[in-house]
Amino acid sequence: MIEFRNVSKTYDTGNRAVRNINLRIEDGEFVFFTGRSGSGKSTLIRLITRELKPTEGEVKVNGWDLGRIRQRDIPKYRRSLGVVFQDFRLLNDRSVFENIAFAQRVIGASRREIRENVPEMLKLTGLSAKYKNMPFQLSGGEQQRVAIARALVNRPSVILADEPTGNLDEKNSREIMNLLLDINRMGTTVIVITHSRELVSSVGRRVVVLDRGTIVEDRTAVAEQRPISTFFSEYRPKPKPAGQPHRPVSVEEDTAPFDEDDEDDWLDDDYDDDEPEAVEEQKGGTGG
Amino acid sequence: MSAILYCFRQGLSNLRRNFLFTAASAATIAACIFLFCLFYSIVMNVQHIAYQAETTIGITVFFNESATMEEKETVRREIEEHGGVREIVYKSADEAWESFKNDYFGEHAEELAAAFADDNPLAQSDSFEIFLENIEDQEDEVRYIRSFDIVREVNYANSVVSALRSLNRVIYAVSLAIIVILFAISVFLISNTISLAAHFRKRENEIMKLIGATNFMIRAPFVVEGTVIGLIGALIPLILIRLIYGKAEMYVADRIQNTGSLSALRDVAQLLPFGRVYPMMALAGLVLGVGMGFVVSFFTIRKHLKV
Repeated sequence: MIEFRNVSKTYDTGNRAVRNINLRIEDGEFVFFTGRSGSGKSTLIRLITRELKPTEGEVKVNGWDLGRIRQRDIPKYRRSLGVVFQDFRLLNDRSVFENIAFAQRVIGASRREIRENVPEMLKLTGLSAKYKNMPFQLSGGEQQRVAIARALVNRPSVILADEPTGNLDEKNSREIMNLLLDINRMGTTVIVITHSRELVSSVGRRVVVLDRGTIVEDRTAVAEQRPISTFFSEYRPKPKPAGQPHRPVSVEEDTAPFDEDDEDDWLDDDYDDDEPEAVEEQKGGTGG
Repeated sequence: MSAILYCFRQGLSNLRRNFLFTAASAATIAACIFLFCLFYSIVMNVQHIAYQAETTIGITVFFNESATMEEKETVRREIEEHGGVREIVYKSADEAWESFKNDYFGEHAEELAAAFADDNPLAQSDSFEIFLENIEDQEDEVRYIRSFDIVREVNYANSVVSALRSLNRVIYAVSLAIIVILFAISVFLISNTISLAAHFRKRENEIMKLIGATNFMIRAPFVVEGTVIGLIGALIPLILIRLIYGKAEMYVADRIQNTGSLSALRDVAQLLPFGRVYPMMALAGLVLGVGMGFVVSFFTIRKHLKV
């Protein structure tokens, strides 16, 4: 659960980004933060990631009081979050596989865990055939799916997506939203920042509207019951929420077969290489 | 274990990415440690020569012409009873002349000395060669010996030793100043290299922070990078010094042998054996290089990465 109690944040410059925010997001909810530029949406996200500390009030996430959390516990806390950015923030010198594995490596996951989890995330996001590609060889939508796979690989209980469709065309935006909805249906809390009214209205979920640092509207809509991808039948966030019914496939299915013999190659790929590895047999992304 | 391996690989990868800065930093540390080793060798050897001079040259006591053998024997006994003396060797005038001929006339000693066949030029130069147990007592001992009426002149290594000691002080001061300057440049360059690496990896570090990487995971690759730069910077001069010292040792021995210098100088002017200088110097060089790399990168990255 995420809870804001009388939260205000004033920056050192004197700019009061958010004022007296009271908000409660239950486990497994899907929430949009929307509003004009400078309305305080990103500040709320940064308060959740504990990049910022509230000037006043309390922010509590999954039982952590973020105003009082010890410095050394912040990394442990952040492992329960997954963050997706508008500009993807992929590492351009590493393959798709290594971008996803990166999230596991930095928390000290073993090779065995990486070998198991990364292919699973690749399947889940429909990127199995492109695991060797470099980010610049992918379309915007594919890059965002890599970013989502990276955010998911440590099985966070909360996904924070800051304008995840901001750089994408309509088709890709819809795919990314479907992906986030699938993730949400498997029990992960998802918070999406967006400017797009169309997106908000088409998805039909809870919307928190901000204006000049305050919540001006908090409306709950009835969710459209869209079928879930088969790949999500296996996926669960780490702190297991109530299970969701298993539904037939609807989003674009990733049918590319994994070459199991290739697994070691993935891990042995020199992810430090400045030069992109050979991708002759891979098809470059063309705007998926 | 995989985390440590990851940090190590990332550190090495940073070295490769910032190759020019890495090379510049390692070269400056190498210069700094090379000079340190060079001056360390010089200071140690000058100290060694000074000590050898003090212990092997000893105090030479010459007597008045009128002094009899009995009187000289009395002086000898009294000096021995005074204490602190390891050995007293009597050198007759003939022995003094023989020694002089060997030292100064070399191979042609007999021909050149023929002119003095029946006339020892050092007739009045019989002497006592006194070796002390503790060289620190030399000045006191010399004062005591001079108090005897029959003593004409006392020669000892004071002037040579004090000259060597002054020389050592100058070398020490100059080397310290140069090393401090190079040290400061090394610190600056390592710090710059690490800052640059942190800049290149800013995006990566931001992502790492948000994913939940610990401070250790974010900082360790940079500290590995700094430490490896320090290690390379230390190994290069230590290998060079190893090669140079052996050659210098042989060169000095050869020069002294070939110039037919004084027999006393042959005993004194020898370089310390490599095995006695190198282990301590290598250890100090490694600690200096690796320590500098580690400490500078640690503090630089601490400043850059607030988690």
